[in-house]
Amino acid sequence: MSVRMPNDLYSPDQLSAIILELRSYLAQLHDGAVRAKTAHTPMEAPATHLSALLMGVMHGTGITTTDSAEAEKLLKGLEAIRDKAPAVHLMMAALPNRTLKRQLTAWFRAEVHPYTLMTFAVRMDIGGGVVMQAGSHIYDFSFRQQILGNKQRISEIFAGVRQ
Amino acid sequence: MDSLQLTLVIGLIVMAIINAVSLVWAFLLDRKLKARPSPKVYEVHVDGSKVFKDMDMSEVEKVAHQQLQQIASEAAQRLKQSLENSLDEVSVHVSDMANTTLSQEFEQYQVSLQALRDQSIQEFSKLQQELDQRRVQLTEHLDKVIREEGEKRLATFDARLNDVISSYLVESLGTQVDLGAQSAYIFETLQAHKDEIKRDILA
Repeated sequence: MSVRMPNDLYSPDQLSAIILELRSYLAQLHDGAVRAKTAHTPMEAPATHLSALLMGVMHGTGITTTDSAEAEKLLKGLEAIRDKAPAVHLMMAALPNRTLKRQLTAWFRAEVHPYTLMTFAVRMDIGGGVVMQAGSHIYDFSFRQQILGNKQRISEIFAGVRQ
Repeated sequence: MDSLQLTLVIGLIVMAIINAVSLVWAFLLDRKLKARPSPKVYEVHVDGSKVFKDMDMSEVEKVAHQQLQQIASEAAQRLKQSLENSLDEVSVHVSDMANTTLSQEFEQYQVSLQALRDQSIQEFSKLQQELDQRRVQLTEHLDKVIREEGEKRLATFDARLNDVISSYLVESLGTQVDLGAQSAYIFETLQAHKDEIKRDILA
């Protein structure tokens, strides 16, 4: 099964949460199926309210809320993603809003890996830009690093002014 | 008495006999010499002042005086002539020396002086060239040292200035951050390093 994750679902914590939610939902589906089989009544969907994230995953993947077999496959797919998907840790001068998180997630899933998971943290001393940890490598694209890394340009500019 | 003492006694007796014979022979010779006749000695005395008369004495003195003057004058003339000849010869000799020996020596001296002068000029020229080269080298070295020192100090100043300005800029960034305004820069940077990021993440 090809799982499609919405860009709102970006962090490992969110993924773990919807896995738990989906597992609980599957248990309820199983209980409902047993009850309907015992009472010889048609099976009804559980009354549990699913989160928007899980609903987005299920709709994006194309499964219905009452299809327990597909939900089982989705659960296994999500667990595989949780265990194997690459994670990127981004540090920014302020915590990004949801739109920016979506944009960043979309970029990583389009350009790097379709199941990239991301975490965000704040580092106020970088001034701006982003510091990214990918695997064991850290990319410092912060304003602070840009200024400190190119400070020789200041003297070049002064030299240009002197001439 | 042993044989040595006997020999010495005999030797003394022989010596005494020889001395006695010698004394007798000398006495006989002395008597012969005294018996020869001795030569006779005759004493003659002439009084010169009484050979001539008084009048002749004055005439003789006058003549002798004139002859003495003449002889002295002639001797003086000959001495003068000899001195003049000697002076001329000396003058000629000196002139010859001046014309030959001294001129040769002078020429040799001039040649030596010229050679010395040429050598001195060459040495001084060489020394001047070495001094010029050394001066050029020192000037270039000094220029290089001054240039390097200036560049070093300027680099130090630039580094300090860069530190000051960059520190000021970093501190001036502050905490008022607009990530929306930075998003274009962030995505542009991510796109520029996309391949490296992909390689690291997928590794």
